[in-house]
Amino acid sequence: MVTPTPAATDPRAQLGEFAHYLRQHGFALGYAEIELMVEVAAALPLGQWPRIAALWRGIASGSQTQWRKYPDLHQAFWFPHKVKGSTRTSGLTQRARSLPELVQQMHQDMSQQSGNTAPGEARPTVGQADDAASGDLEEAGGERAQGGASSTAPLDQRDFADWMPGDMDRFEPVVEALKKRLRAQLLRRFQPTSDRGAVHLRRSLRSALATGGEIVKLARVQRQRRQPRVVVLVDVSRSMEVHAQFYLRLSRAFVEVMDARALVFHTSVADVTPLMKRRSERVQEKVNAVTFGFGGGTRIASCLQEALRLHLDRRSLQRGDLFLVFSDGYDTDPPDDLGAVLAQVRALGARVCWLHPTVQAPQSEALLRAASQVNRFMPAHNLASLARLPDLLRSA
Amino acid sequence: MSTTADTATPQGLRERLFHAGYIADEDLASLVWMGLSLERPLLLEGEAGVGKTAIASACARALGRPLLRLQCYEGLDLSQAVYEWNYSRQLLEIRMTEAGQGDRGALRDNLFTESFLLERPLLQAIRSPEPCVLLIDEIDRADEAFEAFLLEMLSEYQISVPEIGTLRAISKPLVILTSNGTRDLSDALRRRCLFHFVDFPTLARETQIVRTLVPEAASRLVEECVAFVQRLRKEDLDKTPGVAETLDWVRVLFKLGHHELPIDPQLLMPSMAALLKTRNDHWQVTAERVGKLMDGPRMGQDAGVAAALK
Repeated sequence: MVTPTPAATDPRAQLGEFAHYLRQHGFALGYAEIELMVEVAAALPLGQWPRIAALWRGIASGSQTQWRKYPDLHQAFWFPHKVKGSTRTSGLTQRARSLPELVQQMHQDMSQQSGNTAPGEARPTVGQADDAASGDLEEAGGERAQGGASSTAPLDQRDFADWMPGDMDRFEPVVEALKKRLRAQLLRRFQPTSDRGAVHLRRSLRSALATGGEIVKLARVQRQRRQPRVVVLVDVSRSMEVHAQFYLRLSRAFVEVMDARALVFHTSVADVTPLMKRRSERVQEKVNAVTFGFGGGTRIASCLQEALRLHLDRRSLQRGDLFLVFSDGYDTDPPDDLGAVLAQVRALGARVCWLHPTVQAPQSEALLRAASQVNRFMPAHNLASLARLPDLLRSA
Repeated sequence: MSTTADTATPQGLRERLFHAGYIADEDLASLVWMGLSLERPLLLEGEAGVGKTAIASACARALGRPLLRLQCYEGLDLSQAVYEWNYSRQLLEIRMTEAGQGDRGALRDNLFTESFLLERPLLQAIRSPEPCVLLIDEIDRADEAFEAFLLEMLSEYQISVPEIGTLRAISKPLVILTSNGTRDLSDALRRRCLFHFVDFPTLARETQIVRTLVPEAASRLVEECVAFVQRLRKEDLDKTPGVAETLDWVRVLFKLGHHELPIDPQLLMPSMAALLKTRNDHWQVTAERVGKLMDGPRMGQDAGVAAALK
């Protein structure tokens, strides 16, 4: 049973603590939900109290992820003595933290206490991209890291090369932000609507035939809207080995959130969209299998040409669409070819954005010559830089 | 036997659902019970074919309520889901009045009343004199605008018709929404619902389901089929077979006169159409692969475990 704590003997207060605990784990719980939980507990016959976990799970969860996460959290909060490796002492409302979390919490606490006067300024390690041009978030805020502490979550600044597989769920919110900024395009064609838009005389008269020529309902039409499509091309060549798997995860977020097309290339190109659409742990293996035998080099220009010819017809790349290339720009094709193929993409009306794993834009010969055909270059080496994805739309 | 008394506890409701032909696990039965007692809508999410829609019809049978179903699709609008004015009848009424067969003053008052309203499933559900079960199927296919409209109906059990005013529920229906998770639903909608993720059933439960729904099939055939499908689900398929597919497959094998899974995988291949629904899956699951899945070390043991648990 629940261990009563001096601070919270009232069941509602205890439930409030539980709700707070769940919120810390990403659950969206309001007062209404807590009330509902109390109501359920009261309505359930006393003999059936073990069912409470199942009922509260239904109230608290809102998605499959939360649904799967709930039983562990319930167990850890209400029955800490049964959970191996964690204890909940009286008055302490939070689950015993794992060491990395504890360290992160300490960092945050320290940064709040120490303010800006603490000596021993040290910048957090942000991998290979840690130079004067990176760490944008911290510099933008005018605050520097103090004594190993940082005002921003360390994960934001950590280079992709240092990420653990468990950290990768954070791409979707980033892509979601881009999606929100991507405006639907107004087309010239009209489509019928039920109650909005301009009156369409011919349709109205035609539908009046059913009521003896009396117009009882006006037919209305409005301009069609089209959501711009996104095509993501990921370079999986040898030089991109370290970053490719992160970009594959990122492109998966694009496929899931924006229904994008995802293609991978090094010396040849393959469409991996169907593989990305399914929640399978083996995506990486499958992509490896698809690209196996491509060879280790990179032929960007001819791969893009092949992608345009085989995978992207005129319907899948139109005016206003986004053509995102994740690559370091090292190309073994003749330098002028890349500019020519990007010009073809631009001619279709699409916006070309080049996302590179380095802080500076790639300086390869091919890319220098093709730079005029790229709407925007953007570094994509850590989560903080991805937060600026919506900027891709600004210049275009 | 009183329905109300039986459904007063989660256990009683679970038994009623069982008699109605749905084998619910404890969590699901508890959730339906909670939905009934708190008058909250249920949101069921899960892969296609795991029995989300079947829950609604089983609830209707178990509770002795009529079932109203609204199938959502892209472009679904209020005139198909909630109400529509009966324009033809209104026009007829106007013409009759003009011809001197009615009262003009009364016409003005009556033209926009409930008698000229064509009720669609949502309005029918809240205006039904006896409580019903309302199934809003595949809500993720509907537009966000429709989802937003549902918020009023789901929280207040009322519908606003501009010409009349607010129509309140005569009886509160048990609302069950299903979603295949093809798009994210809004937080506002999720908050109003009790959430349940319907997962693929365990070996023992699926065996029990198939036995109950296909009683004519031999027990050994059922056990082996279920054990096979459970293994097949672990393969990386485009469309993982659900319970509905298992049922179809067992029925097909029964019709073909099998009392157990044939040893030769080639004999099984024609019937695999019941389980594999995409070209890619057909291409991936060859006779050889089927043979491996069947020979796998302990298929008999899997079936044995299910038998022991029943």
